Amino acid sequence: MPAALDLEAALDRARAGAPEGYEALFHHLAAPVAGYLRARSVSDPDGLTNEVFVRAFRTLHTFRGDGERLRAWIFTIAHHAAVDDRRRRNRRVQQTAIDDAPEAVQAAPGGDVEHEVMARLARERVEALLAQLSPDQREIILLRVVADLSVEQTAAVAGKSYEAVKALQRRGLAALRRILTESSEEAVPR
Amino acid sequence: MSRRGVPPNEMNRPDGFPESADDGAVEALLRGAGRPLDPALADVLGDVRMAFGVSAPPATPAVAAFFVAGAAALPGRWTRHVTKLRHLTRLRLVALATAGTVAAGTALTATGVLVQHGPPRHAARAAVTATTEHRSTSTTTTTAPPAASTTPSTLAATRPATSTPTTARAEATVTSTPATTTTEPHEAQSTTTTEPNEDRSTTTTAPPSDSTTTTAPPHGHGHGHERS
Repeated sequence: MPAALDLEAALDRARAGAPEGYEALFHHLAAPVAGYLRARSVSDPDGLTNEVFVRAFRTLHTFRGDGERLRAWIFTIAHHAAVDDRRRRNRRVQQTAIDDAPEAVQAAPGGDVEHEVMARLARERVEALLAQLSPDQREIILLRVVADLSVEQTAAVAGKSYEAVKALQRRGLAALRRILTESSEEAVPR
Repeated sequence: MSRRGVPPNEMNRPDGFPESADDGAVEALLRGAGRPLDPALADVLGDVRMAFGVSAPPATPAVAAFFVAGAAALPGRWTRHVTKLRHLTRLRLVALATAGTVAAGTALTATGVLVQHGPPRHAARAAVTATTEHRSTSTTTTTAPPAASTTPSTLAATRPATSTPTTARAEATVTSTPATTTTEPHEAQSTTTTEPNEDRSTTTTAPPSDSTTTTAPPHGHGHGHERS
């Protein structure tokens, strides 16, 4: 069972060429990578997630390090993929797929429609909050919260210094706090 | 952007975060344990984590299944090599399939033409041969031996439609040289412009030049051999 392997064991198995090692790595990291890419508003989060893992698996024999470094390494690939996707979209004409239309709330096959709708609404609220941050702040908050990376790992992925990451995350949290305060004041009539 | 990757205004202006929130408190908030410090902010960060961090993994597509299925142990250069080989094999199969389709289409077309036009033409030729015999024997009495005039119907029936031999001349050319058999279609074609299909085979013996076949070149026409 792939999920039974922890990240270190999965990495060891994958290095040995065992298919279940690759599958366990995918199951451990695909969800946060897809969430990070979705939060970065890439055009096709699931497709880009698979691209990220194909790139990672193809060059896994060049990777040196433990499971935590692998996590940072894969998010580095995801970060570059998101940057490339943004550049591609800037060069292309903007298109909106039917599935991505705001009105189209589609449930997963066999899933709970109410849960899907609530999750979609929560995601839209969070996206609206994050959209008010600067791009650097948003990037650092996502890497710290969604990817669950440390300050050092976030600095390596984003290509910034340790102090810069600390400053950006602090500024980002302050901005979120300010936005929440303003919205609560608007909601309560004086 | 400064040298350390932070915009200048990020480092200079106050961030508005509580002074009591030290690095430990910030870490606690980001790790999901900062609710005592700021419940609203902790809830928002929890929503961020729930919305993006804990989601269903994407379905494994074919390209990732390629690695998951066991080919992942191949280094990158071998993967590229295998991919190139697969591409070449696919191209070869496509070329073979195209050639086979073209050949089959040609064969079917030819078969259809034979079925549609072949038998009636042979039958007509065989039927006309009887009249041709009479005409050819009357005009070129010296070219065809009496025995040859008895077999042309079978000989004409076994030949393709383009080589429309006459009765006596076909016998003469077959008995003389194989090269002369190629001259018969020319004769037939030269007469098709003026004669209908049924008469095409019969008129090859009709022109006066044919009747005086002694002047024809030996390789171009088989009638020159008929002199003997």
